[in-house]
Amino acid sequence: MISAEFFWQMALSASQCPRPEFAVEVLDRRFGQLSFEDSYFAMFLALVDHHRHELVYCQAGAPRPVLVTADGTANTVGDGGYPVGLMAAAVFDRVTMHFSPGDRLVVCSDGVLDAVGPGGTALGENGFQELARDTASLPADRQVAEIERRLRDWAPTPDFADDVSIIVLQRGDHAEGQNA
Amino acid sequence: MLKAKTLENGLTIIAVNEPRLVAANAPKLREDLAGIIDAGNNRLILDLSGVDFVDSSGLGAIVGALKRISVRGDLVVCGLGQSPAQLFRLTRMDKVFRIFGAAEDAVAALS
Repeated sequence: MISAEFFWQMALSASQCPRPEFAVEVLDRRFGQLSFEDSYFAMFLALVDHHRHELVYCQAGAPRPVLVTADGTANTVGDGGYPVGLMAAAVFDRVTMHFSPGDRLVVCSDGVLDAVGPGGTALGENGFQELARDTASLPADRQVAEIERRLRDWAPTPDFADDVSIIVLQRGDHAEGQNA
Repeated sequence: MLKAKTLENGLTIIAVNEPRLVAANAPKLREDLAGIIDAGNNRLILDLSGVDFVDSSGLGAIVGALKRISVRGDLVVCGLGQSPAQLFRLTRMDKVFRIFGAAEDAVAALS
């Protein structure tokens, strides 16, 4: 089992600097030893540095999230990355980006992008970006439910073929505190 | 689901006749690719031009075939449509596999 303590130990260096790529690498090596056949998983691990107004992340096979800035502009972020446990000796990247108060990051699993709508077309990255942008005026805790509702309305069948996970991470106004 | 043809130069072109490689048929894809490899074919061109969509399970089966061949041969991919190509880029598999436009391009490069 992976605990929160594990993540804090692995994702922060001794000097408290974010290093999500190291935590992902540790998981990759452990899972690579355990896994059989071709099983693997994808993850997006991010830490917020409130003092530097930065979001530090490692994208490991997961879809590109959407950054919705406080002015409502929505853009996908990330250049992709190896999934966890798939390739031996995979190298994982750490990416740092600006993350201001009021910005929010909308993260989803591939089951969201692969959800099939009318005419057999998948939602895709552009469709998810639009969903994230169009629902961004809602409070962050209601945005997840609204994205799910719109996704279910759009798809002709009530059940999704793959698991559907959505996380909205909003940067608060406070500049105090530790990494979160 | 697979149609394999081995050329005189030892290259085997494998055409995938399924529009979607997903959790439901990934085990069959894995099994069939393993059968082709275990029969002694180890210079493979996987033609995905008939495939519109690959999910994480389908990708796992394709990578599994590459691992099975290991250092004994090679597995290259051709005919990637827009959606499968996006998945290969997202997961960096475009750095792991050699990718060609059409099967003829792959044959020319490997011959």
